[in-house]
Order: sequence, then structure tokens, then C-alpha cells
Amino acid sequence: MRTASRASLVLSLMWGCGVGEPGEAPIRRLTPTEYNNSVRDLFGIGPNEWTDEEQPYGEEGWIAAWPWVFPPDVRLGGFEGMAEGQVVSPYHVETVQRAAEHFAKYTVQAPRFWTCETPGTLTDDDRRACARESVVRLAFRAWRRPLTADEQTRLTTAFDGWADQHGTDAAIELVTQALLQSPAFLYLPETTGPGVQELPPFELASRLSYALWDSMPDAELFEAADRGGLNGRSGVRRQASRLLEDVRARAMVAHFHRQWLDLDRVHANRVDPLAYGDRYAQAVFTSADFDDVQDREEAWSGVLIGTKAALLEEVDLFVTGSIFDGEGTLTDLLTSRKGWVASINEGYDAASSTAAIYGASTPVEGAPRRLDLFDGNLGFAIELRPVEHPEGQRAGLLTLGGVLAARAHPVHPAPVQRGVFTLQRLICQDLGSPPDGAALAAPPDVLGAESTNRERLESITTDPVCAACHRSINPLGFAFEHYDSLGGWRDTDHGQPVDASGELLVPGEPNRPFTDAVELAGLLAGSERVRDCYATQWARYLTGDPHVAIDDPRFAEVRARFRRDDDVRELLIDLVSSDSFRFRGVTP
Amino acid sequence: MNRRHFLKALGLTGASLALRRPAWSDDEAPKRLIVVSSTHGAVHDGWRTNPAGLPDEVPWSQDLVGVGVEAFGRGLQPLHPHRERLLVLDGVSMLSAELDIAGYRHEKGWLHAWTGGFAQFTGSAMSATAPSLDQLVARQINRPDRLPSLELSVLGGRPVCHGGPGQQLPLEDRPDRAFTRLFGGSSDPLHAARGSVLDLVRAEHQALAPHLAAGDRAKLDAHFELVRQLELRLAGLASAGCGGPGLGEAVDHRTTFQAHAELISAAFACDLTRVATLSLGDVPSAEFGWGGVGSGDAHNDFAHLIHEDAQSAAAMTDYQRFQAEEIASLIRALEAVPEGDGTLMDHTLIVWGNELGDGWHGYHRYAPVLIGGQWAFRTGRVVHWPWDSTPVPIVVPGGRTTGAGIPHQRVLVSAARAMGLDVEHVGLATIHDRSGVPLDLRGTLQELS
Repeated sequence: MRTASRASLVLSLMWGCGVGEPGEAPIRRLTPTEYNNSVRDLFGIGPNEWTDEEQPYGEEGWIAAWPWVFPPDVRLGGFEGMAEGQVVSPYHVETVQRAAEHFAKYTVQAPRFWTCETPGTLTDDDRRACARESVVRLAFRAWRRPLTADEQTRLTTAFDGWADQHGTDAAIELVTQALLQSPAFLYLPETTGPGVQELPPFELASRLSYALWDSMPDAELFEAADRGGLNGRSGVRRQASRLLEDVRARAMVAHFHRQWLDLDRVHANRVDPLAYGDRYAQAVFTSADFDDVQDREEAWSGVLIGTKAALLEEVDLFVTGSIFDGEGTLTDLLTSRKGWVASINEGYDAASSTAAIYGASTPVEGAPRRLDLFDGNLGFAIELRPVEHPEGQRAGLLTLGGVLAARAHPVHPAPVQRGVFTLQRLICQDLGSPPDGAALAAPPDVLGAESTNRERLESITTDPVCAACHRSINPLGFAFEHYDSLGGWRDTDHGQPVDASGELLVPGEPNRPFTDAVELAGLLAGSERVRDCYATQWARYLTGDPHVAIDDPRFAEVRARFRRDDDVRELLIDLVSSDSFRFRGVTP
Repeated sequence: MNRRHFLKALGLTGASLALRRPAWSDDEAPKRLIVVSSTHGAVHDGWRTNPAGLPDEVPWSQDLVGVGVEAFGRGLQPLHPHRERLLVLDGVSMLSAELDIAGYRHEKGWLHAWTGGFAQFTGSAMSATAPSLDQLVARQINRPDRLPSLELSVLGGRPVCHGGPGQQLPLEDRPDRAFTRLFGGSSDPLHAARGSVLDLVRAEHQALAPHLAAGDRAKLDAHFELVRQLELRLAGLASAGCGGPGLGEAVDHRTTFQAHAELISAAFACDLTRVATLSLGDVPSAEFGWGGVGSGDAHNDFAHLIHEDAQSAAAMTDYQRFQAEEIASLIRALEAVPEGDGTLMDHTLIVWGNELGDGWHGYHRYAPVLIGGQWAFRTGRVVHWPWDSTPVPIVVPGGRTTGAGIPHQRVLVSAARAMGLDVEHVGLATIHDRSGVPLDLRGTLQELS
């Protein structure tokens, strides 16, 4: 058991959480994503769209949707699931209670609940005895470790009391409510003593499955934990390789990239219909009676919602396609022209398409993917087909519409945001906050600007104070000036040919000129710093610690291997089998 | 607390009102807030109330106490008996919604109306970027051992309550379930077992805590202290010994509203909560007297056409009038409960607003009404500001743009300050128009007090 000075305890309380002792991996709570996945896997029934109330539970194996949302984690370094970013509030605990009550109703029907074969045919007494056994097994799975004798006693005593009072089924439901609100379910508690300690196998199993699946361990991983299958580096590598074969790993990898690339910002992009309606919604505007300015605005909203969803889906498909079915290298992620063009049918009986963004993409072999969205009023049917994007215009992730649209103003693209993003997320170069008033100096984002986007920004960042940072920011932002606020290609801005040229300044590497984003992508793909940075972002995500530095000695070996082999899946296996992942208390 | 004993007592559900109502003097009685969010805005010609026929171009204020019912806009006439409590605000615009390009006009209107902040859309689901007025106030005035706030809806009223960015609060449409939450007495025995479930949860925490590192322990302690408070709140509600009102059957808009109104009145009387929200869904045409015309869905039959077609304007005026009748019934439910030297209504502020200015999806002529709150407001008046008093372009029928009225955020600030909050702004503090010119949205409306 760990001892701590009173002072450090007081300090921790003052800060609410997160001020750990050096080298401590502070306790992490399940993220909303992990919670939902865990409930799905715990009961063995899949969630539906999580939107409609009262979905029937039937052959489809659906669990009624959880109609509300958990308060989101505060994102640190872009990532949810960072221990320091997990605050609690009264609303949070009420939501947890409500969710527990919602899901507990399904326990009795859950395929993975009963320990006996045919509970429906048993006498009341036998059924109750089986239920008593079953809740203990459910607790083992929900808490992801064997129960102590005391825990088992508390649980069965509560079960007996509730069963006497309310009957067997009600007791099952109430026990489940308690399990889902307990610290061992909601958190990933680690109980090792002070100093460097190897994690006990069940705690390690949870670390592994939440890292690679965003969910609880499966039966095989529990068994490995129980029988020494996670001993040493090689045991962990074996299990990690297996976990990466599962569809849950694909979802996790897509989830990581959405956060690393900060793609939620796409939703906040209020693309102006006056600036872009003609280009992206012509078909919609002319297909029906949209002479009314407000009807046009509503139709535009429909186009935007469908387009944004399709662009985000494309990023997911691109990333998982590259990492699991393709070359699986960072170079491929940064330079491949593979993509997915979507046709979108939405509630206005008119189709829009992301082809308007990508221009002349070439169809390639492959099955289309379908995505359905509903919002109560409108349905969107989105079909994505695999393509190769136009040569000379696109290269990898950074030139996908979803990534570009995440950093744009309503009328003009946002070079500063795009430059800062590239510096921080790909080169791991942190910038301080801009000086007071910097935001006010930004050129207004209005129609009818007086010069090109580049000229207007250059004119206000030449001051030496501004230039200190903008010297690095601006070229990385201007590189993307060929892409408008939805990521569509443009040759001109304000009647002038677009100038996307610049110089890449990376610490520790020679300065290198580029003419546009395609060339820049090639330079980034060849940079050792960028490779170290990508590995470091994964290390932060997988350990829940946003402070992992790009030169953190604990991951030196992992980075060296990734520099040499450029293999993303091996990188993940290296990280989760590293000492600092398998041990608690390893300091940088 | 003896839960079993309490459960037995609940055999008497639906019995007399307020078994143990606190006996407060006027000074002691807490202030309460009710937010009523209705749909499709107003038909301004059928709403405007200007007894002396004063010109639109100048600001003015007129007394309503001494005027007859015929001087009221038809849509507001049902509130005439309560005119000494009214502040009708004529000349307010929801201009921040006009400047927010995200999403559909109804949806973003609901967010702007009550949070004063921008909308945010994830896929097609809307979420807030700031807490709504009710939650801001609840956080300040709630009692730790009671419900911080009560969120109710009528026939599928849309989400208008937000705890903060991305935190949409669920609404309860069914009076029977709301009754259970407030007064217990559920036919579902598991509801009453919640306390014992939380006891077990807290026992698990206590058993685990000593095995954790100090920092981890502190973090879990903070979480499970909140679980303890949740249990306290549930127990507090149960021990309030408040029997709750007898509820009529809720079969349509009117009867559901009335049941909710009775619940709010009883909950305030027993101090089970101090903040309530009523989010009204669309009123079926048959209920406001237009069932024989069109499909029965007022939204598609009439709301969009109010500027083109006199019949649609007449229908939507009656739609508004129907909602005013409902709100009059809420006032009566609060006036029926004595408190201090007066009634509950004397210690309540009702803020009535919409997601739109009018059914045409306009944000220009927003039509908020404040009711009660006499401790902070000089009521019994209609206050007017010119419709172009803010130099921000806003769309009006015919596709023209004009200046806007007073930003509605100022109404939210005035309401928040009336409820004792020390705030300068609610939601946005400033906003930039499409030419990049900043506009200040802070401060109360001096004309109200």
C-alpha cells in the first residue's frame, strides 16, 4: 500500500485530481466511448444507433439505445481519456446513475449473463441460485478482475436481501446497477505499492484492452491474465497482435486519428452559403423551390451536415484502410492518394456529393460503404466509393476534405489554424499563446475581401513580435491555400493564382523549400522529427498522459524502431509492450 | 432514514397536497424561476400590445394595469387577468441566431434562445456551447438536498436545457414519471431501492480506497463524495414528506401542460426544487380550434405562411393565444398556494420565450414575456424598443434585411440578475456581424426596473 505525505494529499485535493507523484500514472476513468463499448461487450449485445428510445430487444441482439449523453472529457493534447482531463460534477454522477438504471434492465436477457444453460426452465429456487452465481461472474467481468472474498460477500448479501424483498429478476437488476456505478467498473484502478512495480496481470489486461480496443478484455484475454499468458514482454506482444486483428482495434485507430487531427472542429465550421452555396449546393438549390433566403439556408444546412459526415467517414476509411489493409506506414498516411467519394441523399430529395470537393477522382476497385444518419426530421443516406484522388492536388491525410474543413473560416480557409495544427500535431512543436489583441488583428472573414488571403495575413504578421512565431506558422498554413473552407481545390484566390509555396522549418533538420501541400506532405513523410512526433502522440494516447515529451527516454527504443521501420501496427505493439506500459511507476 | 417506512406511507399517492409545506414569511421564501419555451414564435400583429398607439420609431413604455382586454394583442389576451404581473417586451431580436450559420433555424433557435451562445452540431445532433439560463440559475440557488432543477416537456418539446458545452439535459414528457421523481410512490419498487444501490456502491469505494495511491484516492474520493450527495438528495426528496398533487389524465397538450403545472406548483410549495423548465412541443391544430383546416399539423399548414396568407396568420395567432391560456393556468396554479403574505407566484419569475421570432423562421421580431419577479422588475407594462435599434442586418420577409432590435441576451442577463446572479452576460458577451464589427451583448435592460 502506498503512503503519501499529508501535504501531497492536500495538494491533490486542492487541484481536484491529477497532481500525482512523479512517475505516477494517475487513475483513469472510462471515457464515454469506452463506457458504451464496455456495456456492449459486457452484455454481449450490440448497441443500436444510440438515438431512438425503446428499440425492441430481439433477434438483432439490440440493446435499447442510451438516449442521453455523458459529459465529455476535457481534452488534453487533443485527447479524451487523459486522467487529468477527467473531472466529476453532480451532473456526471447523475448521468452515470441514469445510465446504470437504463442498461441494468437488460441483464436478465443478456446472452452472456447466465451461468446455467436454461434458466427459464428452472424452479424458482434453482433459478435464484443460478442468478446468485451469475451476478458474481458478471461482477468479475464488469470489474475485470477476480473479486476478493469481502467483495463477493457484500455482493451476494445485497443480492439475497433484494431477492427476498423484490424477487430474483429485480435483484439481478439492482446488483447490475451497483456494478455499473462502482469504481472498479468506471475507473481503471491500479493497486500496486510504491516504486517500480510490474502490473498485476488483470490490471495489465485492462490497460491493454482499453488501449487497443477502447473496451473491456474478452474471454481469451482474461484467460491469458489468469494463466500467465501476459508474463513478460513476449506474452504482451502476443496478445497485442491478436487484439489488433479484431474489428474493435479498427474503431480505436479511427478514434485516435479523429482526436489527433482534431476533426470535431469540422462541426464548428460555419461554412457560409453565400461564399460556397453555388459551388457545393447548386444541384440542391435548383432542384426545388428555394427562392426564399431562409429555405436556401435550411437546404444548405442539410448539405453541410451530410457533407461533413461523409468527409469524416472518409478519414476513418482512409486511416483504417492504410493501417490494416494497406502499407500501414506513416509515409502512406501522409502521401497516399487513396480516398472515398460520397454521394449523399438527404431530406430535400436532392443529392449532393463530395465529388464537387475532389474534382476528377478516379474510381478504383472496391466495395462501396454505406452510412446512415438520422436526426428525427431528416435522414441521410451516404454512399462512399473508393477512388484515387487527382495527382498533383492531393497527398495523404492532410489534404483530405475532413482535415482541411476542420480548420477554415466560414468564407476563407484559415492558414494560421492550419499552420499551427501542422506544427503542433505533426511536428510536436508547441507555441505559446498569441499576444493580446492578436485575434483582433486577424483580417475580417467577409465576402469581397480586398486582396488574397495570403497577402492579407502576411501584411499583419510582419511585425517582429508576430513574426517570431508566424515565421514558422505561415508557410505551413499557406501550403494549404489551394483548398477552400470545405477542402475543395482552387487555382485562384481573389483573381490571383494561388501561391502555396514556402519553406519547412523543423527543429534539428535542414530547412527545405516546397511549392505546395503535395510537396510538403512528401517532406513531412521523410522527416525523423515527424515520425518521432507521431509515435509520441500515440504514446500519450495509449498511456493517458498528455505530458509525454518527444524525447522521453522511456520510449527511445520504440521511436528508433519506428524511424527505421515506419510500421504503425508494430509501433502500437512496441508501445503497449514497453516497460512503462507493463510497469507502474516508471519515471522519464 | 427508514426507506421501507417511507415506501409504505407512499401507498397514499395522489393524496393531499403538500403534507409538510415549509411555513415561510415573505422575506424567507426563496425565489423561483420557470422557463417556458414555446414554438413558432408570435404573429406580431396579433401579439403586439400598444394601447395608446405610440409610434414604432421611438422607445416607450406603457402601463397595462389600467387597460381593458381589447387593448391586448389577441394572442396575449388570456394573460389580461394577470396584467399587473406582466412585462411584455416589444423590440427584441435573436440576432445571434441570425449570425450563426450552423444548423436549422428551429434547432439553432432553441439553443440561442436559452443559452445565449452559439449552436454546435455533431452530425445532425445539436448541442450547446454554454449552459442554459435555467441551469445557470439552478447552480446558484439550488438546495443541496433537493433537485437542482426540473426539466419537463409537453408533447415532445425539444431540448432546451443544457448543463454546459455538449451537455444536453433530458426532459420528462410524462407527468406520471415526473411525479415519481419528485414525490416517490412509484409502482416500480426498484425506484425506492436506489438508496441501497448507492450504499453498496459507496461500500465498494471505501473498500478499494486504501489500496490506491494518494492522488488516485483523492480523485475517487471526489467522485464518491458526489455520489453521497446524490444519495442525500434522493433521501432529502423522500423525507420532504410531500404527497404531491392529484394528477388528472394527461391525454393532450392542454392536459399534459396542466398536469406539469400542478407538479411544478407542488414541487415549489414543498421546496423540492426552485427551478423548472417547460418545453412545449407543437400544439395540434384541433386543440387550438383549427382542426378542420389542413392536415392537423400547424407547423406545416400555417406557421410558414403567416406573411403570405391571412388565414395562416389568424391560425397562428390562435396558436399563440392557446399557449397564453396554458401559461395563465400555470399562473393560477402558483397563485393557488399561499406563501408568506401572498402566494407562490409572488416569489416566482416566469420567462416565456420561443425558438423563433415568428413562424416564418424569422429572428427579427422576437416576443419574450416576463411574468412575476416583481422584486426585481417594475411589472404591469409593455416596453418597446425600435425594431432597428441595433445596427446589425437581420433578414425579414421578402428577403430584405433591416436593423435588429435589442439582442435577446440582454433579457437573459436581466432574468439571471433578477434571480440573484452576479453576471454581466449570459452566453456570448460580444458577437461580430458579417462585416467583422463587434457588438456588445452584455448588461441588463435598465428599462425593466
